Amino acid sequence: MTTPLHDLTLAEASARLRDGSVSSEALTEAALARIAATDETLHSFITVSADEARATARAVDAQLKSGAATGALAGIPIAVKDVIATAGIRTTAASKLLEDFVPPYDATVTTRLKNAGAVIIGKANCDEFAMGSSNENSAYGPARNPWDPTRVPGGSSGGSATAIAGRQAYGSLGTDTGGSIRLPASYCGVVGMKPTYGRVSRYGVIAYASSLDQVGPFGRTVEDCARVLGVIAGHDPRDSTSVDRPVPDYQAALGTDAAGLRIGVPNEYFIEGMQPAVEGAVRDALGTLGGLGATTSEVSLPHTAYAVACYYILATAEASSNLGRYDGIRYGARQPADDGLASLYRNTRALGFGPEVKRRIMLGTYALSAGYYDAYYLKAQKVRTLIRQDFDRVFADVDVLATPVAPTTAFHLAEKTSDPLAMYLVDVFTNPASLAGLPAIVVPCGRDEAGMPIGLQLIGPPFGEELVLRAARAFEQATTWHRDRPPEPAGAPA
Amino acid sequence: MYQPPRAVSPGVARPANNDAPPWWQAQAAIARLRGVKIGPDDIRKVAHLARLDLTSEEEASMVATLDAILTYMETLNTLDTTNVEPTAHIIDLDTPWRADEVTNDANTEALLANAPARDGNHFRVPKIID
Amino acid sequence: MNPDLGRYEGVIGLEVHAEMLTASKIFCGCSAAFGAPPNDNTCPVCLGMPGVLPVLNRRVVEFAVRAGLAIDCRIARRNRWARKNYFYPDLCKGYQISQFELPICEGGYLDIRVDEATKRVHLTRIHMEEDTGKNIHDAHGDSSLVDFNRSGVPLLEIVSEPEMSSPAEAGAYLRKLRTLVQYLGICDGNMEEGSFRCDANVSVRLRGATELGVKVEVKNMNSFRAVEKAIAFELERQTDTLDEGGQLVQETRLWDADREETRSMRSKESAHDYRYFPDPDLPPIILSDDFVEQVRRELPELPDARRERFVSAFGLPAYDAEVLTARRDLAEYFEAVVAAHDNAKAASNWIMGDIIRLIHERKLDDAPTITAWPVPATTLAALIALIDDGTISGKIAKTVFEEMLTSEESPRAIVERKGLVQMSDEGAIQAVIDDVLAANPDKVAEFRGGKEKLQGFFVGQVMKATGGKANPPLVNKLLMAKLKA
Repeated sequence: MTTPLHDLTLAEASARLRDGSVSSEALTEAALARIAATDETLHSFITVSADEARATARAVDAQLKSGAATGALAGIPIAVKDVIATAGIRTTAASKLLEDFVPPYDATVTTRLKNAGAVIIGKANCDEFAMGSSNENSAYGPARNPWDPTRVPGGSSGGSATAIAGRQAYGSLGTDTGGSIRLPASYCGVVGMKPTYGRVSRYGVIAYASSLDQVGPFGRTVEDCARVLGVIAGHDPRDSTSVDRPVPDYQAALGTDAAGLRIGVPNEYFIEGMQPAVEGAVRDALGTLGGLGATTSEVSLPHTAYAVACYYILATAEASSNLGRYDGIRYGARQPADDGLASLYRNTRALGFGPEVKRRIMLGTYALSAGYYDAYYLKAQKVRTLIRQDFDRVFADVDVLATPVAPTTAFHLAEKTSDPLAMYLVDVFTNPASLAGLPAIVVPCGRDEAGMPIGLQLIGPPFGEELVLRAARAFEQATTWHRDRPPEPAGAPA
Repeated sequence: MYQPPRAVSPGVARPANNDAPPWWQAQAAIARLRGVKIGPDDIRKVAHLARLDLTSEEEASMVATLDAILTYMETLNTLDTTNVEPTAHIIDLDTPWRADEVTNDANTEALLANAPARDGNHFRVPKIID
Repeated sequence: MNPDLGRYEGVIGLEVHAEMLTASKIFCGCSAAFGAPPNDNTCPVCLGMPGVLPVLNRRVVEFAVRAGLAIDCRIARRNRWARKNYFYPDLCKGYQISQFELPICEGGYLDIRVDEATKRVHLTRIHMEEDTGKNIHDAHGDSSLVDFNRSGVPLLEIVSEPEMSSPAEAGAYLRKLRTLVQYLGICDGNMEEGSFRCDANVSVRLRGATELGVKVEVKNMNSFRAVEKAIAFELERQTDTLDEGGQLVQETRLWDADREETRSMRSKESAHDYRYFPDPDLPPIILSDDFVEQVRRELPELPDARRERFVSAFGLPAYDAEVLTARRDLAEYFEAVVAAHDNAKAASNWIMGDIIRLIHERKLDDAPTITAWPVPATTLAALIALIDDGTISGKIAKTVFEEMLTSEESPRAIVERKGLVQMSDEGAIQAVIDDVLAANPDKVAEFRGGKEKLQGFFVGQVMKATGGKANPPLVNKLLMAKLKA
């Protein structure tokens, strides 16, 4: 039985394109058909860019036929999180406020995808303005976990993860601010990676928390992720926080095995009340890595428990400022100003922003306001230093850290929506690496009693993407979790 | 035929599922027990600073949730940070800058295309009264 | 202009925003030039579109350091950008990128001269920030229009300590600062066009008191005169209020140039909470020693130094030097004239007299830099040379000068065309003198009888007879010789 096109990995699809056994048009049409059949259930996409995708596919096919050079992602359908600007294609940030916003510019990562020949198949669903851990804060309805559509896919890059797990695209871009790639990767049983802060350009990425946001890839395999990372990474003169450092050949880093890798296991990440299956799967994974020749040792990151509070003060403070531009004057859904200029702002923002966005704007505004700045914002900046120092210390002795991704597997829709604080605490294992600006990858490492995926997080030192990719790949190749598929969504063709 | 979705109104919050594991329930409960940190006046002031028009239900909800969250944030105060430098940027960079050159051409129409209200090439807003 | 405040003294601080003369904006590659069609000089960055990021223009930092070095500030080798958050239609990101806790320059001073006395006014700080767009009130009544061409133009904010005590001091400080930024080439200093803006913080206190009174911010002053008048009005308003037992309110007032008064801003001004925090999109500005030294090496000659040089090198009186160095372009014009013909005092007289008069009449000094001089520097020099070599008299030169304003001809060509060459032939002059004396025997007798002031009459007659061309000193010499003989 031949593998259906949508079940190929990105690497496999790319190989078939190059050997001529499949065309980009075929891959693209298959993806579009798959989306049409399954997205009612999964709701991975806010916008499907069929016309643009077909045009790119045709162009790439012509290039391949004529023997012209093509890029690393040539002809491959890729989904792009809807906070990433795509010129001429609606970019909503999953918000009502930007419902009809069509940017006249591409994000730098979009340009890089295009230069690599990628077929941008659609804009992936996410939490509004990337704020959330479940994709339930989307103004367009939540994305759903393909393993169990009554459960959340995780957030904020839910749609980018479900597009992969649901086999609707071969790769996707998400953003990760406090865990927004890693959590959905874990909940959906796919690979997701947050690069080192500054590794990938943020230009054209609708800002949530500027000192934390990073764009990163999702894929079915570590190899797929490495390929996408190699395309999007690199210095961008338009982003003053992007680092001018050569991009290594990430795929070359995949070749080596785990022998000799020193893996640190921070004991603060194994806490009271964690789902036993999660802890079990992660510990088993450590055993697997040990079997591959890695050495594991216990380490301590003493300030871990403070990361959530620290993150939510800093991120919401920056967000409250970043979202100040949404006033309905230059773009955005403008509400009638019944009472002059002041009401223009209030109505536009009140009706355009969802409740979680409002909550975070309020929180952030408070944390920066006169009289509270020192107690909250400045304090959190200092705690951030302590958290980073924890990591710096342990990386003197270990190569990567291995941790769980979340205390549990994917929860049910609406389970946490009425308790924002409970939702924030889901990020307890992902916030620290964000605050420290470190690279981190998630690979599937098990499933719980309900069949829901469990992820393993591997955190590296600054610009240690090769280390985490190597460790992740070694683990992946020694297991079969990455080959498991969720049940077919209702409506999917056989 | 594929129809791009229109925004739906944000979902109405449903009661929490009390089967949620104890770990974070405990955390959140502790936060709530520690008393009121922020009241309706604070909420109104902050909402004005942020130009958010809150309904009275939203105000009430905001008081409760922000209070709980801010109380939780207090855990940071248990850390002694007297000699700790704040981190404003997580990476160390030499000042990136560019030469003083005009590199942009006029692209007025494309840039104004998303404007909700225009008057020729101006953006139009309700009258500003100083 | 300076009101008598009786038992009070004025306490005035000035905040100046100077638009920098860079080609491009501070954080994007759009042109910073004035006068483009609405929203033509914009891009996603200076329109605050979703996802865009700022990239710093290096020249802005150079200009700021230049200003700091010229004003004797401490240059902060590590300084930071901060976001100033507030909502206004011309502020496209909902925050202005500015500097708060760590500005690029601190301290510094300007020495100003008022009524022959020199006073040192210290500065608090200088920092860089971006300008906002412009709101235009629509004729149709219910709308305002926004143009973002100015959004992102680089500004230098220069804040003085509250050390001035009169409108005259404020005016002197502003003029000095304006001259300085023009000399430095960082700003064209045009208050009327808005490239050089001033807000004043005005308060009063009893003479000798140390605590500051209630501070009132005064805005909307569009010329130096307006600043002086507004401050004068405000000082009187405040002292009158206090004398009548009233209370002063800390507020912002706008200068109404038509009614010549300050008015409280209509909108209820709650104290702004700008929620400043370090801008996460921009790393700190780290200035190397090399950078600062390079800027120092490239500093142009500053006004004070140039004034002193005009006195010492050209032998000009202090007053002349002051007038000529008040504008950089004027000083350069002067130097060009002297370079073409070495008579500094004559050049100074012509410039301070006729040239400046014409500049005022033709409103040429409204321009940030005068490009169209009434007479090119080399031409004026040529005219002075003709006087100095005796070809024409000073008086005739005035006539030639008037011709020069409308003619492209050289002064010499004009002189020759109009036959204005000075008569210096002693014999010819002698003949004319003889004729005049012969025609006025009674006046000659009166002169010889003691009425010395008739000399003027005789000189006048000689001049009349020679069509004004006789060489005056020669006329005097020969006339006196004849009369006293």
